[in-house]
Amino acid sequence: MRLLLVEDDPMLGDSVQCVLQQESFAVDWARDGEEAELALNAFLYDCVLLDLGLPGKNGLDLLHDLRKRKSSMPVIILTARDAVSDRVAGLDSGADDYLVKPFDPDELTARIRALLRRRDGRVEPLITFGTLTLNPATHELYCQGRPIRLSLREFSLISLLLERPGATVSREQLEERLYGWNEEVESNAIGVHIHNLRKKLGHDLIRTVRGVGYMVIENP
Amino acid sequence: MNSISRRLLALLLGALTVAALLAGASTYLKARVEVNELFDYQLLQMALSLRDQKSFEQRPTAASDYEKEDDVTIQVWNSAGALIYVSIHDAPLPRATHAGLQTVIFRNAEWRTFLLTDQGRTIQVSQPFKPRQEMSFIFALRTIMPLFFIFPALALTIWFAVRYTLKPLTKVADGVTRLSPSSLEPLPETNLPAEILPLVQRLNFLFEQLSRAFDIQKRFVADAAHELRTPLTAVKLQVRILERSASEDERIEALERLRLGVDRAARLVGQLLALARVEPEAPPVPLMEVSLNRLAEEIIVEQTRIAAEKGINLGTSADGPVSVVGEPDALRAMISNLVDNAIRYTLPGGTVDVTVRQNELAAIIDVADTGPGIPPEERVRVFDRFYRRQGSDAAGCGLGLAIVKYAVKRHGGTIMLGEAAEGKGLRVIIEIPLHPFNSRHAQGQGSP
Repeated sequence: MRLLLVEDDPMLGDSVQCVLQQESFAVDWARDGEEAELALNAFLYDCVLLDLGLPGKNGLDLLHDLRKRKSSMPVIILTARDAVSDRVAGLDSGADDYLVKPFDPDELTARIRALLRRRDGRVEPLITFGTLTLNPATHELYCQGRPIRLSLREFSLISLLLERPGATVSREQLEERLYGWNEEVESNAIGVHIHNLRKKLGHDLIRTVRGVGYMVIENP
Repeated sequence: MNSISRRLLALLLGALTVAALLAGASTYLKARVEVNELFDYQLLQMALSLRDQKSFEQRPTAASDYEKEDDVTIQVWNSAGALIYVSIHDAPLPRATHAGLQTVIFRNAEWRTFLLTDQGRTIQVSQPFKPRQEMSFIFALRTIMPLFFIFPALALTIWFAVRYTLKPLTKVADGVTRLSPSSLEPLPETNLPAEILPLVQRLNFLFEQLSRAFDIQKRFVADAAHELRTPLTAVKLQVRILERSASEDERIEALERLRLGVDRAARLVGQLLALARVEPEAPPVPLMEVSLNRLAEEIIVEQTRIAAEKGINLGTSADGPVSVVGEPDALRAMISNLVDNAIRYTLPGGTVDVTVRQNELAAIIDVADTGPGIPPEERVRVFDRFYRRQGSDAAGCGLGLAIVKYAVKRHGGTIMLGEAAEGKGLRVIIEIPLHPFNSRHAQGQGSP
């Protein structure tokens, strides 16, 4: 899952990015309105975390423009403005959620997961596929009720593939959604993670579509 | 009971009573003189009418009316000195010593007598003083009686008059009762008597000051709460990062992050308090003679370590001692924030120079750095509180220059932002009048 964090405060931005990375999100951090605009035009993020008091371009203007372009990217406003009128203005400008500082890191990640769930049209917090059960909140994967230990990257990768079972996802798409701006990606990183996943989950789950990418299908 | 209306009522009625009694007494005294004259004249007339009577074998007819009414006693002596007639036998008064009017004491009472000698007979007409006193008393009573009758009506009238007069005061009291610290509406100043108007005006002035102070306080709390949200959020997240750190290296890094977060929150609290102390509305503190060159040296010693860690050359120069009379804490906050800012924004390898000098009128504090400087169009706004310059990576809380501005203002000084040497870096020049508080007291801070 790749997120865009728009926050001008260096310390807060760094902390939010670090917390979300620990939760296996890939986080791009834009420090002002212009940078955020460039990022939003360049890439389709899974969720945007938006501070309102930004230098350059104001957070609400950014949001207006995003929605004017008919983008349905989930947006959570993170701000110190806690007046009801501010919340209303934020939500009416097209935000999906509004979180007032100081917020709890667990609440932030829970809200991100809730938005992703809604975006994918799921009701259940758990993702199930065949004998697999995936809990995005705890990063746990169960196969036939048996817990399977996964690294954060492996977990992100299987979550992406399970988002739309049966659809082929390219290697580039996976790289884009797994790694943020400053993270180095080795050329065969995805291949290595797929290999490890297959070792843990069995070889039949993830199919390679030659020359295109990967897909998950239910065991016959 | 301490009530103005009761006091007024008691005073007015008391004064009225005294006036009535005085009027009565003076009437009595005046009446007595007149009654005396009248009765003396009667005595004389009676004696003269008795003189014309030939014989006293029978009761003199002319006297009988007087006798009944006014206890008049008539005595007649013949030429031999024998009492030949006395109208009341059990009360023979002594014969008066000489002719005419005389006051004598008889049986412990004062009597008025008139003695007349004619053709060998001596006629004495006497009358006690008592009826005269009674008559005077009745006159006096008649004078003051009506006053006592209208007394209750008068009391009632006074009561209403007092209530009516005090009505504006009651209205003001009611108005004040309705006020609360959160709604200090000014009281109406129209239709007020001249005695109460100054009171209401003074109250309104105080209310205005009070509600302004409340507003400032509220704004400060709101600002403080708002500004603390960001560092506190960071601290919350940093704690989480620390909890989730897997390796020792990560933990050390996370702890360092947390330390920075807490430092920042603490610094913000310190700056907010410093700001609250130097704001124009903050109460004045005792003035002291402050040596600015020594203060600058102290601050530089405190900040040398931070400067050295950043590789910044921090130094001071002063030509001789420079002192002003002022508020020590405000002056310290002023210099400390300037030096702090200069170090914060200057890149490693740069220089920060603090110079303290003076001319005939003012002490001059001059802080120059080799940082990025402040472009002229921003040189006014940087003094606003919570204003942060765009793109400045140094995490200040946006209060430093606001504190400096207020501290300078409190000392009646001026502040100027400019470029340091070769048009690069920032140079701040502050001038503090050598006797700043002469002017402050002239402005009358804290009083209307």
